Parts: sequence; C-alpha cells; structure tokens
Amino acid sequence: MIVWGSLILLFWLGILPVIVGSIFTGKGCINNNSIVYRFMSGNMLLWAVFQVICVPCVVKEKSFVLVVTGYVLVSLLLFAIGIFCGVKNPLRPERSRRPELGEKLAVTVFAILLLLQVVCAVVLTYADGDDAFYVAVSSITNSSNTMYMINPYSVGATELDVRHGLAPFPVWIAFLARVSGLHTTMVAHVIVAVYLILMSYGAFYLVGVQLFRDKKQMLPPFMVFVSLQVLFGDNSFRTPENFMLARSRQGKAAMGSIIIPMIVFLMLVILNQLKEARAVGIRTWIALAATVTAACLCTTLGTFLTCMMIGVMGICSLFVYKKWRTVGQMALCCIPAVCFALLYFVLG
Amino acid sequence: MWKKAVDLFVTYMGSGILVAWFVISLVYLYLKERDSVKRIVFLYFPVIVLVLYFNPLFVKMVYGIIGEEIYYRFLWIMPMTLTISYTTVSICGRLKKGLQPFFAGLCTLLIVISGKLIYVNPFFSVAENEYHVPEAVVQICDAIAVEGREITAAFPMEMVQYVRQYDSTICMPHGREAILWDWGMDFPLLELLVQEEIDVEDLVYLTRDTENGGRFPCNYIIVREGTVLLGDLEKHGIVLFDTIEGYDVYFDTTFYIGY
Repeated sequence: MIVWGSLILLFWLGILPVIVGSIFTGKGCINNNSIVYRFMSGNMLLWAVFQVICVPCVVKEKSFVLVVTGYVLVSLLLFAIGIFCGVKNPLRPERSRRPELGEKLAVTVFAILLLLQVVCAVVLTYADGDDAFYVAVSSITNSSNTMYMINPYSVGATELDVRHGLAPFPVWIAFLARVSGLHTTMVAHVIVAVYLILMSYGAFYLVGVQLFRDKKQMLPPFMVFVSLQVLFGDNSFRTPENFMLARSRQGKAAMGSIIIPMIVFLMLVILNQLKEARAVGIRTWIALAATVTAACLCTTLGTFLTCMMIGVMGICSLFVYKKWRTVGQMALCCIPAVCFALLYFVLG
Repeated sequence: MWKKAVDLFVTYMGSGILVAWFVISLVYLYLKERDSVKRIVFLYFPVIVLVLYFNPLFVKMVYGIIGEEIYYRFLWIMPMTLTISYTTVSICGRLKKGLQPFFAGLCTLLIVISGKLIYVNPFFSVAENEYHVPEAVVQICDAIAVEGREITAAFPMEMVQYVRQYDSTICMPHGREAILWDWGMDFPLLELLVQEEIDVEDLVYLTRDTENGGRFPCNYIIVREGTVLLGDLEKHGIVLFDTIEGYDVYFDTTFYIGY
C-alpha cells in the first residue's frame, strides 16, 4: 500500500510538474534546459489550477470529489500538453565546465545541509498548534468529502469558513492523500513537509542561477549561505525560515519560502530582459500570473503580498527603465490576486 | 499601533546582529552594485518595504485589512536571506583567492552566532511514528474508533490538538479553541480532566448532562493514568475500557455507539 501510494505521489509531485513545466519552455524562454525550472514552474501552474478549480467548489459548498475529479482531468490535459511541449523542447545536457575544488566542496556542503534538513523533516516533529486546524481540515476533507463545513477543532457542522476556504492548501494535501490512498496525517507531516523543503531550495536555486549568470562558480557558495541562514533562521517563530523547517506542511510556509523566492526569481528574469531590451515572452508572464494565483492557494494574505512585491518592483523598474508597457503587463499578472481578494471581501 | 509594529519588528529580527548584517549588505549594494536589476530587487525594494512597514499611515491601513497579529508577515517579502547571501558571496568573489576561505568561514561563524539553530527549538522532538502525532493518540484513537460512525471522546489537554489530525471521525466536546481562547472558562470539562483528583459526579455531569453544562455526550473519557477518581464511576455505567500508553480510557455504556 505504502509503496503503491508512494509511486502515485512520485507521479503527482515529481513527474507531472516537470512535464507540465515543459509548457514554459521554447523559443525566447530562458532556462529551457533546467529541470529545476520546469519542476518549479510546473508546480506553480498546477497549484494555480488547483486554486481555480477548488475555490468555486468551496464557495458553492460542493463535494471534495468534484475537486478531485476536476483537478485530475485538467492535470492530465496539462500533462498531455506538457509532453507535446517537452518533445519540441527536450532537456539537453549542457556542456559542463570543469568545477574548481572550492565549488566541489561547496556543492558537497550544500548537499549535506539539504540532506540534514530532509532527514530532520522525517524523523523530527514540531508541535505546532496551528496543525490542529490545517492538518485536521485535510483529514476531515478526505474523510467527509466536505470542505470547510465541519469544525476541525471539536465537533459538528459549521458555517462556511470563507477566510480559510479561499486559500485551500489543506484541500490540496487531502487531494494527495485521496489519490495515493496514504493516511492524510502522514502525507501532511512527512511527504508534504519534505516536498515543500525541496521546492524551497528549488526556488532559491533559480534565484541563484539568475544572480550568477556570468559567474556560475558562485552559485554553490550562494546555496550554502542560503541553507545556513535557513538552518540558523530561528531568530523568532515568525521568520519564514522557521515556517519553512518547522511548519512545512502549512500554506503559510509555502508562501514565505517558495512563492516569495519564486516571485523574486521571475522578477529577476523580467527585469534582466528589460535591461537587455529584450521582449518578455508570454510564457514568463503566464508563469508570473500562475505564481500569483498559487500564492492565493497558500494563504489569503498571498493576494496582498504578491501584489505588493510586483507593484513595488514594477514601479522601481519604471523609474529605471521607463517601460510603461511592462509595468502594465505586471499589473495584469496581479489580476488573479485582486479577484480572490475581492471575493474575500464580498463573502467575508 | 506604530509601537506594536516596532515591537513586531524587534521580535521578528531576533538578535541585532542579523539586522546589522542586513543593513551592511544594503550599504554595500548601494556603494558597489552596478547591476540595475540587482539594485532594484536587493536594494530599492527592501528599503521601500522597510519604509512602508514603519509608515504609520501604512500600518493603520494594513492593520485594518489583515489585523495586527499577522502584520509581521509583511516583512516576509523583504528577501533578507537572499540579500545577505548574495552580498556575502559577492564580497567573497572580490577577494583574493587565498582570502576567500577565511572570509567564508568568518561569515559562516557569524551566521551561527547571530542566528539560532532551528532544531534546538524546544518544540522539536523525535517523531514517535510516521504520523508525527503522539503514539498514545494513535493507539487510543485506533482502539476507540468505530468504522463508518463518528464517536465523541473527551481527551486531556495535551492530546486535544492531535486527535482530529489523526482521526477526524473522533469528535471532542472541547477542541483547541478551548485552549486558545477560553481556557478554564467555558470548558470546565477540559479543566477537570487535567486534575490529579477528579470528582466522579462532576465528570458524569459534564460528559452527559447536555442541558446543564455538558456540551456533548461522550462515549469515551480519557484521563491520565493514576488520576484518582473520587467516587464510583461504574455505578453510573462508565467502565474502564483499557489503559493505553499511560492513559486510562473509560467507556460510557449508557450511550449507543453503533456496534
């Protein structure tokens, strides 16, 4: 059962995002040969799709089964499109340069630090009271087929919980438990925790690649310093680093350590293309809009934070590059967040 | 309101070393960074975020929307970890080859000194099983659960937050909301269950009499092993079901449970 469930999750969490991420490759796209880029951008699109399918069902008080069916069908459609794009733009091994000794050392240190964090996510547990809500919502959703209609704390039906229902990250966890047949609690506390940590480093890696495009030898030390700061980031229980390693099954953690670095990465891509007077491809804009929508899946606050990030960086770029059109395109990418924010105020 | 924002900032940042390091990074980027893209993302953007964060008008506006408790999350968008790491590596790259390992070692030491290793946080412990909930919760829930039905059980405080994470078919007369907001006021049963001595009459009253104080009739009552019961529970039809992982599990035979 566990082996079969794990294989199913390998498809949904590993193979599917990479294939779907192929949609974001092609002529004019950067990172065509990066499997990490395909994995991360594919995940952002899949999270965005889940959000778009799930929230109307939550608001209309529909069954969880409808969400599962709808998401499976759309995911498989994206999978087929991804295969088509992947065949057109296959991953090609890049000519690798000979790494220096320092680089090799940094890669080894980073690998050890990452392994440590993954192992700790499996063998250690963090007692966080918020799990009594989020993990219980996943568990109830999977067992009752209802979403945000049952009091997760104690007993009984409740009114639709709009504040949390508009950011249904726990329902995504319930989906993983449903398709894999594994126990929801184990999926949340172990599998999703490890997965989100790996995704976080995927996002940090993409940022590093953008920062050190001309000095690739600097990327491994950069990853080591990021990893060290995450490990020693428990300055308070409010830091994104604390959320990333301690509460890594909660949407808030994904917001702080996956979505925000992904926005940083995409803004670096867009601004670099602006600086080099190159047109920003449609796929990059779709990736940004998908990441904004994915932020809404993680937390309702994601609507505000992503718009702030894109807005402030966009205005800065306006002063530097004087490209009104690009700022307008950035604003268009924020529309999903604005829609979900409006929904929050209308229903709230 | 503004003072609260400052307090949140102070507790968010922890030791002042990290803030100092971040400010030094910003100064370095201002003086040395020539790439306009990196200046936007790692210099202008964090500075604007900080200015907004401490702006009383902004504080008032955002407090009104998201509330003061989570205002600190606005700081999440300031990429401190990325900014510090980028600056550190950039400085390292400008040094002579021979000096680079020393500088990297010094910065590593500074990270270790200025931060706190997350795994020494007292809330971390070794997981007792693959579910990451206490083994006692798993075993008790497995023992009392009835397939296809919901049952109600009263658990002591330390187990409350885990029960419905593991098995959502087990309901509780009091959940985590009792601990969060109304501890000891509207949830007398929760307060009673953590006493070393429990008056049986009180226990029966609070787990059965839904019209006069009890919230929901309980099929099971779980107390810590060794808790002294003052009175005769069996007289009321409540029998010891089992002792599991240091907890006595009592079963109320007077309620239909669906067997």
